[in-house]
Amino acid sequence: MFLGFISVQLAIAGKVVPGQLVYPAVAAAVFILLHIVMRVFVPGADGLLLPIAAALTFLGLVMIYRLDSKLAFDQLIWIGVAAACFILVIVFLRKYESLSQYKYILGLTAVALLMSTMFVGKEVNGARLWLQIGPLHFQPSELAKVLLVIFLAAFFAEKHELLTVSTHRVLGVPVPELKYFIPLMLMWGVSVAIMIFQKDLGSSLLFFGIFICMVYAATSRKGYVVVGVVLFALGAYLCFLTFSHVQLRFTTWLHPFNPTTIQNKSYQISQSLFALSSGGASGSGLGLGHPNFIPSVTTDFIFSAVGEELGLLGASAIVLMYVLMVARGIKVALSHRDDFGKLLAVGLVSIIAIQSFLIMGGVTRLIPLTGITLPFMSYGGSSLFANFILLALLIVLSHRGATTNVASIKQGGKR
Amino acid sequence: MNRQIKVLLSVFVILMLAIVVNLSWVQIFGASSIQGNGFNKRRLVQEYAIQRGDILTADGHQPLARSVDTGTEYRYQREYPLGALFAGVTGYDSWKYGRTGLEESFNDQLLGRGSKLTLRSLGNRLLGASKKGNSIVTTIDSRIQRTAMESLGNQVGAVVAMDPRTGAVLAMVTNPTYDPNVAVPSPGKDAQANQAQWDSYNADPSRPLFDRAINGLYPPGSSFKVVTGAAALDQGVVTADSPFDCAGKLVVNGYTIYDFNRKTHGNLNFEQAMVVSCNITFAQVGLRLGAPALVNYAQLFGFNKPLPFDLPTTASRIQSASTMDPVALASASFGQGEDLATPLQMASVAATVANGGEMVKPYLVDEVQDYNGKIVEQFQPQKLRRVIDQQTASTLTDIMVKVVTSGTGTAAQIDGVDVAGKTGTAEVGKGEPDAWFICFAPAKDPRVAVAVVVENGGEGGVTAAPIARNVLRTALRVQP
Repeated sequence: MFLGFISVQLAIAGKVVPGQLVYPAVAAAVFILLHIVMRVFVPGADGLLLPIAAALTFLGLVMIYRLDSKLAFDQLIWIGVAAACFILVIVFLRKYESLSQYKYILGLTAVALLMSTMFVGKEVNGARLWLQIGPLHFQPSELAKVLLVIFLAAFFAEKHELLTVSTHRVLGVPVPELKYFIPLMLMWGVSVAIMIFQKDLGSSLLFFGIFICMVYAATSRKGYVVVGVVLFALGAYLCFLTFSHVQLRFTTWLHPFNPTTIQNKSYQISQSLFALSSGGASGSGLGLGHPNFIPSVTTDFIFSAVGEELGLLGASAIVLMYVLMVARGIKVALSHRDDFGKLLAVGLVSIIAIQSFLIMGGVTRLIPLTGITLPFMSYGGSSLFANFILLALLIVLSHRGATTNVASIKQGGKR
Repeated sequence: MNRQIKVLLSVFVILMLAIVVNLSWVQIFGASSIQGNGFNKRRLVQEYAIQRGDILTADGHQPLARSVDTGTEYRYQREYPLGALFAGVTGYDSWKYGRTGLEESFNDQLLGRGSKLTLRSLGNRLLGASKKGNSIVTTIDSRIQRTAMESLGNQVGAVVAMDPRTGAVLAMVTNPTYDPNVAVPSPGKDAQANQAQWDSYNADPSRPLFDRAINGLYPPGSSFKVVTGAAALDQGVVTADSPFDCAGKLVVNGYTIYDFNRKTHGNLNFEQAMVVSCNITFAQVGLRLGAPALVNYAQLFGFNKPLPFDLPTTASRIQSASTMDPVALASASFGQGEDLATPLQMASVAATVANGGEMVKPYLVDEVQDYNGKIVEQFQPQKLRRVIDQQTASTLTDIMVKVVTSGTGTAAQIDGVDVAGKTGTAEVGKGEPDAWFICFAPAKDPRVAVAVVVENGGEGGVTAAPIARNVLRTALRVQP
């Protein structure tokens, strides 16, 4: 990270500015502190999750510093705030089971947070995602997704037997009673509502994706997955027919270089592709490319900036880090014996996997672009805040998973 | 439940793998097709990140074009300190409107691309000099250029002056012209006024962006008699003393050709016919010579093919021999009919005669220097071909000297210097005839050859010859 900062300074200013090396120093100190806290309070925690998150956050900070050095200061403050929340979660939520008692409150809070922007939200870039409290902008959907996962994990842990009971058979396939589709329908409704009222395709897709993953893990019913995907596809298609902003996402995805839209509507995605293509295998080098041509490069498009300046190698390394993080998270889920812990881990991992896939796939034109942040890397307080809480929960889970396993082995328990 | 969780892991891994696969297409295999898109600003930005080399005059290496660090996205942008005076030479380099002139034809050198990889250039590259282009030194002398422009004044036309021994172009002026600075929308300029000015250049019916010196096609009129005369003398069809009779008109295949202003010259020899510019005599000379020989000589002088030059040129034209009937042949012999020539072509005709009948390639760039002023590339004068015998050239020179001492070109006389010249007064469809004068001096040991054309200028001896004289005078003073 220090090297990254120095090379950015060399490339942009032509000299090293020692005073600004305080940025990486502070960031490094924060993570060393987090590591110590983790060792002290949750010694059995997975040893890889925090370093991976740290690497992603550091790289994000270097890129943000390179793109707009003023934003790097803000980001550093957000890292501090997020780290404080991380510590709070580690210290006070070691008994994560207590969360399941408050599942309805948490669920309602999540929905309230999501709905809040529809009434008092501020529209930025054509989407209503922001709450403004004084000078602070807050994106409630970032926190809502974590709360929702907690709620769903608790809900399914309690009810999944019911959901798997099938009394009907349709074409020989066992199908649960209709009333058990109600949560599915509710979730579908929430997702479509987000798509319609907030014009936020990314969050909509993310919420529904998380839900499908958790339903599948909880019930092992492919029927839910199929019905869910079909329903969502139907909703998306209806939105496509009705709303121009949804149509736009698709047409710019299919034809990013259309000369009539390249200077306006498909400007972002085409600039992102130009940036990536100029990067090649090893990239232009930090500070030597032109990622600033891409609008909102510090938030949604930070992955394109990495691709331009660090090349395919750097971008693939990022992807690999998410894969590693997801794999460690899945390992945590597998190691747990109680359903709530398992489902909670699955849900949290799904957030990271789906969100990073949606935005990395979006900016590289693998899938239509949906504007969401890249976990840990993108600039933004709400995003860092939510992701560090998520990370802390996962680490707590990993500690408990490991210690209960050790305990069960000691007790000679069978599993 | 664990089985489902493992399935989810596989799904996530596959999705992530898809990103890497797609990325390798975007970044490696399909990258060049994406980058080639015209809307990709990066290409321009990379080009304008290079400090383009200067374009310099031959005299004192004054900058005609130089790069200014704007500190913006398109970092180095052009400035043309002498503006419109050299527009036809430099052209412009603009991220908005593209490139013309030397900016276009020497783009690679100015950007420092493609120069030979020597130990020094490698060293320069390692020291970061790849961001600096090479400068080019032109053959243009600013004093001659300025004289030519001032003498032309506000008349529409062009002047080309060259060194007949080497082909180095000393001045190349076209009027009306434009200010190349307008083409560069660099920061700090009034963008709107700039655009308005640029639009008015494009809308102007007198076409200021058009370089008449190398692309303007004009009927050469009597100045073409130098070509016809060279052919006839070289072929031995006539000598200076060959007698002719001018009745003021000539009937060819039932078609009557009249002399200019229906003048009758009576009995005269070939030399006198050139001195007084008798069309009837030259029609007869052409008929004696025959179409194939006339066209052949014209082509040896460079007609029907773009002249090789450092800028793209338009080919001067003469009808092909196979389609040239006697009437066409007669008119072509005195530069009417379908003959069309550029000022650069007619300057080359004068230069070839001046150079003893051997044609040299006209050129505009003398050398390429790196940013330290070290010469990277030196251009040598190039002989193209022998067009006429030395003897023919010398006879023709003597006749052309008489044109200036006692004929139609007396306005080109310079005290103490023998000037050889030929006037041209070319009838055009509408309005006054185009005025021509082609000449070189000193006649015995020529150092400068000049061609002048003034659109609808009237008689060549009246309008064009004085301009040529001014240019010659300045050139002889400054040119060793």
